[in-house]
Amino acid sequence: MEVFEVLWPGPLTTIQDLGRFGYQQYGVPPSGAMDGLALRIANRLLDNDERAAGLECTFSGPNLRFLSDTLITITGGDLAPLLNNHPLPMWEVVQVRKGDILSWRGMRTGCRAYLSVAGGIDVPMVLDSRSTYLRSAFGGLEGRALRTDDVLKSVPVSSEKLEHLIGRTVPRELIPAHKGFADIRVILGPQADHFPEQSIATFFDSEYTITPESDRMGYRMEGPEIRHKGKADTVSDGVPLGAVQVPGNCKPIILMVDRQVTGGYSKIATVITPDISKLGQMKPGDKIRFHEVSLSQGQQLLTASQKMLDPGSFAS
Amino acid sequence: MVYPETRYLIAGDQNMVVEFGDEVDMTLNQKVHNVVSAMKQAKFDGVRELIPTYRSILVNYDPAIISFAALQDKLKALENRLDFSPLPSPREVEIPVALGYGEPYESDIEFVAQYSRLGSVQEVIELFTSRDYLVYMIGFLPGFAYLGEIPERLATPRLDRPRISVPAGSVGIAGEQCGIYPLDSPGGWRCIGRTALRLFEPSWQPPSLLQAGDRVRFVSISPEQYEHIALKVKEGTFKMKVTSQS
Repeated sequence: MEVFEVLWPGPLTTIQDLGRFGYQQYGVPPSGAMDGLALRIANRLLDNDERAAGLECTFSGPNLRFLSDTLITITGGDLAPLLNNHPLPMWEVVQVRKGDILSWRGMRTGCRAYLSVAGGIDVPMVLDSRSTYLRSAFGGLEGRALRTDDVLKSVPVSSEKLEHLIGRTVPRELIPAHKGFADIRVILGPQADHFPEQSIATFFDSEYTITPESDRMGYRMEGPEIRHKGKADTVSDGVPLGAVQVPGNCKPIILMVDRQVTGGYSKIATVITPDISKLGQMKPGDKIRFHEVSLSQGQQLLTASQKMLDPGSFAS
Repeated sequence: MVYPETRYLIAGDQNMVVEFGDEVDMTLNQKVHNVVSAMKQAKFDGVRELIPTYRSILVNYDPAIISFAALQDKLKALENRLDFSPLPSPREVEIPVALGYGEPYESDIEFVAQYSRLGSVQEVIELFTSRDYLVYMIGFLPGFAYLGEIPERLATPRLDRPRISVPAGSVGIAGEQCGIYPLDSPGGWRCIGRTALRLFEPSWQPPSLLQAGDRVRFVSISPEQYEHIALKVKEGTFKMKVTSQS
C-alpha cells in the first residue's frame, strides 16, 4: 500500500528498524535506530511487529503527503510535528487521511524523531533488516536517505484491527525528557587498564561536549584529555555498541550504531545499552558526564528498561 | 605470544571480550579461530554474535539468559577440552590481482620497490605472490579482510595523507599487513594492485567473499586479464577458485 510521498526530505531521514544482527563477523555494523527505545514504543503503540521499520528524522522531519488513510505515531525527539499545519501530538496513535500533509516546525528537544506507520514501512530486507547503512549504501530505500518525490509503501494491515488503536498513548513516565545535558552511565573496560588512575578520575570528574564531528558512527567529544599509560593504539579488536575509545589526541569518542566493528584504539569504558537511546537524542553542543556503574548494576538497568516496554505498560 | 591465562573482559552490559594475547601473531589468531568454531558448534544459549579479531573474540550475549560468570565458566571448560593444534584453514581462495595497476591512481608499487630496496617492481610481485596469507579478521568496512603476514622485506608504512577515495578491489599494504578494499573508501594503505573480484555483496549469504580463518593466494595477472575478469564478474560468469578442506 502506497502510504506517503516525500515533498521535502529534511536534512537526514532514513529508514531504520532495530538493526542488523549476526553480520559483524563480516564487517557489517548493526545500524538501526539511534534511539531504539523511541522506535520500539512507536511500534508497540501501533501493534506493529517489534522489528517493523520506521523513519528516523534528524534535526527536522520530512514533509510528507499521505496517499492513503492510515495510523501513525511519532516518538523520540520533539521536532514539533504538524498535520495540515496544526500541532500533532507525539507518543500517541493518530489517524491520518489521504491528502493530509505532515510538516515540522523544528527542533525543540532531542534531535531524532521516529515516525511509524501502521504495519511498518515496507522496503526489502537486506541481511535480515530494513535498516539503512549509508556508508556502504545498502538497506532501507536503496541504501540512501529519503529524497523529494520518493513514494513509500507500508505493510498492509486490516483496518478493523486499527480502529481501536486511535488515541492510544504511552504513560507519561515512559516519555523521556531530552535536555542538553545527560549523565551517561558506563561500565569500565574492556581496556580501562590502559589508563592510569588519574585519567580514570578525569574521565568521571569532567564534563564533555558533543562536537559537530558526530554522526551515526560515533560521537567525538571535547573536554579534558584522557592520557594513556603507554601508546593509544592497541592491536585491533571488536568494538561493542557504546564503546568509549580514546585515540592519540586523548579525546573520547563514543561508538554508535553505524560504527566500524573493529578498531585499534584503547577503550576505557562502555555505555550501558539503556543510555544509548539517551545519546541518540543528543546533538553537537550538548554536554554529558560519564557516571560509573558496575556490571551487575548495568545489567539490572538493562532489565528494567526492557520491562518498561511490557504490554501491561500501555494504555488503550 | 599467547597469554598463559585467557582474559575475560567486561565490555558493557551485554558483551564480553575473550582475549588470548595482545599482538598480531599467527598462532594466537589460530587460537581465536579454533575457539570460534568450537563455540559455533557448542551453540551456547544466550550467545547472540561472535566477532573474531586478531587476538580476541567479542562475544555478544543476552544477560537475561546467561550471566557473565556462567559464560566465562563455559568458555573455560570449552578451552580446556580443545586441542590447539592448528586446524587446516577451512577454505583457500585464489584472488587474481593486477599488481602495479592502480587506476585511477598511480600505484604505490614503485614506492614499495624502492622502500624495500628490492629495486624492481617484478621482484616485489614475485615476493608478494610467493606465499599465501591468512585472513586474520574482517573489519574496518563490510568485507574488508585483514591478511598477513607479508614478507618482512615488503613491510611499508602507511601513506602520510590517506587518499580520499580508494577504489574497490585495491590491494593495499600497511606494515606487515595487507588488505583488499571491498568498496570505494577513504584509505591510507599503500595500494600495489587491484582485483576485479567482488569482495562484498549484501545479497550474498554470507555477504563477504572472505571469512576470518580463510587462506588467500594472490595470482599475478596483467591489466588486460584484469579487464577480462572484470567483464566476466559483471556478467556473473567468473568462476572463483575456492578449495574447501572440509
